[in-house]
Amino acid sequence: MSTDRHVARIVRSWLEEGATALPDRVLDNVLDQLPATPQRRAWWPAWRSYGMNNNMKVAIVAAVAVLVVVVAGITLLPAGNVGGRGATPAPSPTPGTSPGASGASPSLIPSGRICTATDCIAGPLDQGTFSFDEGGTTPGRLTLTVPAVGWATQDGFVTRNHDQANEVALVTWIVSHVYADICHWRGSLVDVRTTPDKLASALVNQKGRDVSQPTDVTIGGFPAKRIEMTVPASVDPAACDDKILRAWPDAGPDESGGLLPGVGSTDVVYVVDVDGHPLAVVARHMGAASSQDLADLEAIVSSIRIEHPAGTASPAPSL
Amino acid sequence: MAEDVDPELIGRAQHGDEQAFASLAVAAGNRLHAVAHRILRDTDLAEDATQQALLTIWRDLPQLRDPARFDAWSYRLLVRACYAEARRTRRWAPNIRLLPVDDPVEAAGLSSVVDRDQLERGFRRLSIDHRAVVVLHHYLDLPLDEVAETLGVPVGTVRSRLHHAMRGLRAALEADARPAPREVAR
Repeated sequence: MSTDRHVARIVRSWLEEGATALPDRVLDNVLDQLPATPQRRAWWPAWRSYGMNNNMKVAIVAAVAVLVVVVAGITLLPAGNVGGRGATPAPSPTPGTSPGASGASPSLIPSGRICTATDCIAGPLDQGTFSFDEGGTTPGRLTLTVPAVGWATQDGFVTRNHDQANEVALVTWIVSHVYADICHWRGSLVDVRTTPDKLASALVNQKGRDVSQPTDVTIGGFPAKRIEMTVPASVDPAACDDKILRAWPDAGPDESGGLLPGVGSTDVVYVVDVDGHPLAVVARHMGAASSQDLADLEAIVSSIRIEHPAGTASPAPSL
Repeated sequence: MAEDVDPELIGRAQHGDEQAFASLAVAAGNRLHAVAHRILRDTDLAEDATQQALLTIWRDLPQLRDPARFDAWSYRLLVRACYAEARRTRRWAPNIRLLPVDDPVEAAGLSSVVDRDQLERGFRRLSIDHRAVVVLHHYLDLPLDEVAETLGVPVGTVRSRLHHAMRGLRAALEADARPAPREVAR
C-alpha cells in the first residue's frame, strides 16, 4: 500500500521526465504570425478621447501622476487578479499606441469584429465591413462599412488621422449619464438611462458646446435624433474641472473614462432608439478635416446596420 | 520553476514591439512547452497548445495590468490552450509513450518502466482540469493558492481536484501493481 507522500514523490519524479525545449520551428511560426495578429488594447484605462490639444494632455498626465502617487501611497495592495479587469481602472493620459505607431509592422485588420462585448481591437483597418458585438458598446450587434484605406480602430473608435487637427472619427456608446456642463462637469451628472428622448434632451441642454436643435433621422433602420455639438475655440480647458472637458463618463458607478470633447471639435451625435434602448453614435471631426474624409465619415454612418436586440425582428435598413 | 521575466521587456511588448516579444517568447517558450507537454502527454498537441498560447499572450498582452503577474497569467492562457487542444483533437494513441528528450532524471521512487506506464495510464484517465492541477502543483511547485489564482478557480476546488487526481494515480499504481489474473486454458 502506497502512502500519499510516496505517491506524490513518484509523481514528482515522473513529471520531471520529458520534453522541455520548445522546437525552434514552433517559435518561428509564432513570430511569423505576429504581424497578422493585432494586439487587443485594454478598454479600461482608455479615456477614449480624441482631439485633445497638448495642454490638455499635459494636464491629464499631471493629474494621473498625482493620482497614482496618492493611490500608491494609500494602498499598496498586491494584485489579486491575473490579467483580468479590476473594478477601478486607472485612466490613461493618452490613447493607447497602435502597432503601427509603435514601430511594429502595420497590418490591416481584415473585415471582422472591432469590438466584442468586452474587448476592442486596435490597428489599421482594411476596407470592408466590421462589427461591434451586442452588449459592449451597442444594445444590438452593429455593423459598418469602411469605404477607403487609411482608417484605423483605437479603443473602439473608427478613426482617420488620429489625434491630428484633421481627424475624423466614429464611435458608438451606451451612455448611462451625461454631464450637464462639459467644463464644470464635476457633480453635474444627469441620469439618462431610461429613454432615448432623455439622452437627447440632456445633450441638447448640455452647457459648454454650441448645440443644434435635434432633427429626426434614421440610423440602421432605427429612429434617431441628430444633434450637432461644437466646442467653440473660445473655451479654455485650463479653466475647467481637472483642466479637461468631459461629455459623459463610461457607463458605471465610478465616472471613469468617457468621451472627452476637444476644443474645435464637432460631434454629430445620433441618439438612436434601438427598441427603447438609447444608443449614441458619435461622428466626430476636427476643424481641418478634409471634405473627402468628411464624405467618408458620412458614408460610414450611412452604412451602419443594427440588429434588434436578441429575440426581435430586423428592420429594413435605411438612413 | 518560474523564471523572472524582465518587466521592461513586457512593457515594450505590450506596446507592440515584436522584437521584445520575441525575446519574451524565447524566455518563456520552454517552460510553457514543458507544462503543456506534461498536461497533454502528446508532443504534437503540446506544441500546438504552446504556439496558440504564445499568440494569445501577444494578442492580449496590452491587457495585462501587472507585469509581475506575467508568469501566472501566461500559465492561465496556456492551460486554456491545452483545454482547447484536448477538445479539438483526439490524437492520443500513436504518441502514448513519453520519451525523455532533455536530460532525463532518474529520481528515487520511480524505479521501473512499469511505474511509468502505470502513471501514464492513470494520468491519461484524468480530465485536463485535474491534470493541470497536478502539473502546476507538483511540477511547477506552485502553492495551492497560486494554482487557484492561475486557473481562476477557488482554492477549495483546487484542493478537491488535487485530492481526486492523486487518489486516481495512487489507485492506478496499486491496481496495475496487482498480478494480472491468469488465463485458464480449457
